[in-house]
Amino acid sequence: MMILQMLTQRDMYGYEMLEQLKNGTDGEFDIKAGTLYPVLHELEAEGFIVSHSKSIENGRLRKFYTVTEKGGARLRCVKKDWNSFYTAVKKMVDC
Amino acid sequence: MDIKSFLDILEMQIKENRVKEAVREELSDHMEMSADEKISEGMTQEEAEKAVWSEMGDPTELGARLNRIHSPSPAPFTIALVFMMTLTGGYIRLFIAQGDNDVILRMTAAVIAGVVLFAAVTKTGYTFFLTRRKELYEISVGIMFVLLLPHFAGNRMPLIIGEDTHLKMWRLTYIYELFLPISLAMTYSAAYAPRRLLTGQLYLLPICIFTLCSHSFEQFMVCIAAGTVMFAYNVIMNTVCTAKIKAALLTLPLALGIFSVILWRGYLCFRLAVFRHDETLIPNNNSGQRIMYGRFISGLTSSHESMIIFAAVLFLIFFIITAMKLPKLTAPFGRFITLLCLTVIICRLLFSVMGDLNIFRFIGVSYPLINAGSRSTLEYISDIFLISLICSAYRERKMFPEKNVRS
Repeated sequence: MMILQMLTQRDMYGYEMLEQLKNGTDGEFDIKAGTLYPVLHELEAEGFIVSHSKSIENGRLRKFYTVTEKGGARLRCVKKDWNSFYTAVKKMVDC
Repeated sequence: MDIKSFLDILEMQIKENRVKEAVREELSDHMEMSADEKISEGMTQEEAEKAVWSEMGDPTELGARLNRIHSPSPAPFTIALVFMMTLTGGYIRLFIAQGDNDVILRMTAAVIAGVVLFAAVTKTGYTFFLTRRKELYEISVGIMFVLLLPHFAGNRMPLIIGEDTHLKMWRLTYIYELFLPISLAMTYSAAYAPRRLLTGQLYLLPICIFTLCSHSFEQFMVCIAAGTVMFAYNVIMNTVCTAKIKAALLTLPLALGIFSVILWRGYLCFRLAVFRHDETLIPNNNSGQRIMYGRFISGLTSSHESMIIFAAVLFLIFFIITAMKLPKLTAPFGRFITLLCLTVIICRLLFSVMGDLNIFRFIGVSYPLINAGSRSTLEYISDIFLISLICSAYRERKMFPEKNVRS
């Protein structure tokens, strides 16, 4: 969900996503790169995101990811589930 | 514990070369960026690379996980369907053979060859053929040329293809169908058009042979004209045309080729249906016997007819599954190849059904995959090849978008 959410804002590459996850959650989500890439590839295999290569300095290519329509729909669905879950847990804990 | 060693170990876990290459490119970019940042924070090169290795985790485990993601099964249900259709065909043929060892032997050989071909094509994938698009294009145009030239020249080339021209020409169409879908696909986009073609030069030799063997002035002139057209076509392709026009001109004759083959079959079916009492239209087989027309064979019992209907139902399921999967295929060439292969198979099936319903008389066309090892061994191999291409397209993902094809 967090990966899809980040990609709705702009196209990003793996390293950038890790940094954003770490900084955006005050260090709570310090995910290892070895965990992120299989997730990205699985999301792409499922058609939730697509990748494209952009040329960077020294003629090297960098792989950027973009969320697809299918991914957007999936994000809305997961967000809805998460909000329900969060509300229910919060309600229970706050009692 | 340097970056290169990490990537080498990871690569060893991945089977497909293009996946290896893409994963290596992506992860090396990440690792180098991470190492540079750590060095700028004060670490040495060695310490930085060690820290990056640690962040990435175990290369063996990561490689194995990525390999699983990128090695989807080539449609197990389709494979099961192909297996069932071949079994059904084998059962029917065994009944028809009635202990004829020659038929049984040929059928066994065809099935073994089919299994090997299926495994090889599914494993290597259609991109293997696309990377050799130029050679395949030359072969495809060559077969079309060899196929059509004698017809244009009056279908009388006894010195080249013998008296039994009808039958031998017919068989060529199966070979042609083997190459056609991928040949069309490879010329589908202007970006992939072969840069230089041999087409004109390549066929000068057969043109010369056909010309020398011509028996009349008309044949001679047709051969000369065909040779001139081929040569001019090649010159125009290689000198004048832009990539887009070249791609369009390359695709056009192949597309016309497949439709002419289909129409030709339809015409022959129609001719035999109209003139079904004219024995001279029925060609002989290799043993000099008249080829059986009408139903599959006159002695089929109702249970065997049921088997044929069962086979047709299996094929219908195959068609529905493939048609449903088609929009989901993300690789554009894969989608295109699947569509073409399916079209070829369905056209052949339609003729078979019409023949079985006695609308048309049979002229060697039969249910795809069903008559393995009989007179249509080549057809069986052709079917297997087309279905293998479809299955290999199922394995394709847009993540590594047919990269080798573009090179």
